[in-house]
Amino acid sequence: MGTGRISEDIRQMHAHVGTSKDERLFDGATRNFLAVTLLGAGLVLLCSTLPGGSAFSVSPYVVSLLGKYLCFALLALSIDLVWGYLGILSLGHGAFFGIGGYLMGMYLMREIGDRGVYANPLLPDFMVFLNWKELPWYWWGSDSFAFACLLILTIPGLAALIFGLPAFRSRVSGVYLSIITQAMTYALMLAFFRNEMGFGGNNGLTDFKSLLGVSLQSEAMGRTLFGLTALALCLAYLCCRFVTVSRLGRVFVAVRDAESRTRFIGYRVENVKLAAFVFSGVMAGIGGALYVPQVGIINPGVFSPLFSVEMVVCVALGGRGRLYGAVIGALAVNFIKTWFTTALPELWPFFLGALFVLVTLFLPEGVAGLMVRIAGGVRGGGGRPGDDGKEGTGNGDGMAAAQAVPAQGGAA
Amino acid sequence: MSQTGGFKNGPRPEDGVRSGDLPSSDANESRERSDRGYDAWERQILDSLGGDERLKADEELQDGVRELVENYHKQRGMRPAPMKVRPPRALRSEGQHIALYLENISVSFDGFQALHRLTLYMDEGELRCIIGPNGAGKTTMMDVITGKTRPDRGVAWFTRKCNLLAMDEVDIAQAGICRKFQKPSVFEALSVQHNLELACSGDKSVFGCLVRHLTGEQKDARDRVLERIYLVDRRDVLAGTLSHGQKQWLEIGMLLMQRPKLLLLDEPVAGMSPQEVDRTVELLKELEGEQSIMLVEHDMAFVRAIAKKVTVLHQGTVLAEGTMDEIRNDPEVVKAYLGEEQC
Repeated sequence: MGTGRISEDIRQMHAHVGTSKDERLFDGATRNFLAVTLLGAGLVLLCSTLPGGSAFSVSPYVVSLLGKYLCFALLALSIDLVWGYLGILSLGHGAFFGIGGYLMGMYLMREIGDRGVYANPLLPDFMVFLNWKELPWYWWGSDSFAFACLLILTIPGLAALIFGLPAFRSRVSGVYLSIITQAMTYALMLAFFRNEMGFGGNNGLTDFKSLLGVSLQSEAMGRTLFGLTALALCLAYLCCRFVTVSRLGRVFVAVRDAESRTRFIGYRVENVKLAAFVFSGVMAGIGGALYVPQVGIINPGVFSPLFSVEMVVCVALGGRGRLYGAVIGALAVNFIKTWFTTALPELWPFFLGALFVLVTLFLPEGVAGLMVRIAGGVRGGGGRPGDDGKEGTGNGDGMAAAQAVPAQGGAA
Repeated sequence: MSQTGGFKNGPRPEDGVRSGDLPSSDANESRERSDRGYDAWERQILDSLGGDERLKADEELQDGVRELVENYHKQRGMRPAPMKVRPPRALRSEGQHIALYLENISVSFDGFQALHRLTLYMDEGELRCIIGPNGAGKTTMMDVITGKTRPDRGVAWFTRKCNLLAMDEVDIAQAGICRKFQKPSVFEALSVQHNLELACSGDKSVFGCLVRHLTGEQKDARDRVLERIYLVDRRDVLAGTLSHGQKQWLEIGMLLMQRPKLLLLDEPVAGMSPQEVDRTVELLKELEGEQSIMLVEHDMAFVRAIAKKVTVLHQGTVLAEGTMDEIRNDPEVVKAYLGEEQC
């Protein structure tokens, strides 16, 4: 089974990092991450205010594009929390992202009011088109922004709870869990494709005009949304960091590496998994909600298994179990994707597949792992020869870690 | 007794015990009375028997009643009422200090009888060694005690409070039964200290783990255990980098952190060097009396060094029980076990 190999990789990855793992909330990596994200976002915002002719100016299009990437980064972060730390490989996290997105989309649809094509003050265009006379019950309250926010914070988490409760209680894990997460998102995709569902069928929700009365096309709105997304990402990162350095984070690692052993020392593994999964679902939902106003459309495509798998590839490429790795991966993959789908659109799926294979073979720890190794090499003055051999064979037993430990014991 | 739920639907003494002859709904009105009546009746019968016979009769009575109730419901197409099993009489009586009570445990996997009517009692604070050839059912027995395997039939109690067959692994672990597996299974990606903290008795809920730090008391306990398992100077080292023997100690240390009442050790000295074995003997001797320990081991020298009472398992059942010398002179045991593996 593939997961055995994966968990072995993860174990090694941690063995490699050794004891130097800083347990403060704001360790070096966290500080760097926050600094880079906030400074980078600030710089983008500053540049976007420059007049169009300037060499450094950033167009509104680029701002919303970067905002979209940050939403994906938030989704990748939520996947990393459950995959990298708990070993739950979810191939259906796009579902929670999509639910959050649709909840925001519903509010934006109602916000259009009578500015739609059919100028119906109550019903969104697609409902008028379907000849519906009144709003379905589940659209109730969707005209209130506060209520929409409340739903965005609760419904994706609730969905994760409803899915996770039976799955974790019946101790489904590994590949089987991955398959049912995939089935879940696929089922949702099929459901949302249907017009009768009342979510716009395959066109989804689109043609949004404004948010809280401010036009979505305005530059100020674009900048605000981008800034909010960057802040949300930083906040989510800190929350994840808080969880993973707490005692609970160590229980996560224990569950990931030896689930039944953790049960025998008295932890309710299913509750641990469920809590992490729900939290992760909430994060993904917030990502989706921020995504929709910046992109201007939400359709059942976000529920497609391919989207979720793509996000998993992002996390793998960036490096599992390091939080910032997921963010790097999401930004990198989506940047390449944007370029590729304009230059060579037909080749993108092949490129994505090849990327995944190459990363798995040559960079099992992802880009973040590579960065750590390079940084370690610089700090240690020439690297440790034992490491590379060990990474290559893929099954050494902590030799490299044993060497790493004395060096780092002093620092800790 | 207040917790005699299982018998409330059961036969009353005046009914006689014939299948299909159980009381119908009128049992409700006279529940209290009949309950008392039943108890007296039961005691009368049991008092007429003595010792082991009495224990056995008690169990058979419970088994019989359960069967009767099940049949009664089945015949009438009703769902059987959940039975609350009460502890066996041996555990209920005063002055007894039985920690572990296993009786007539049978387990079979796909027709292979791993345990066959295994009966074993352990006193509180006792150190008991279990020996037996491969396939005798030692590990399966531990699986039953810790809730990993459900027996086909039998009774298993841990003190008079815990019916092991009605609990899952987590409940059992939290009730104070801790197990060391055959293969050292420490959490290799965590440091020695964190391994111990993880095992530490206390709040193990998700929220508790998230927001609560270890108390000073728990930290002291951790430091004491670190000293005891000879790993003080390696506390910040990843468990994955320890030697095999050290991993075994760490695992014993993790068990100690859980403040167990009953410790199950599956081959704790397998693969250890002679010096390491000596230190493990010291470690376990220190523990004796604090908690009951059940030890499965193949290493005869180790068993001889540590054991007072030894139980020999063979083909899923208890072959002999006694001191090491008694065991060695038992012809049955010699035939089944020591004969093959003279020590």
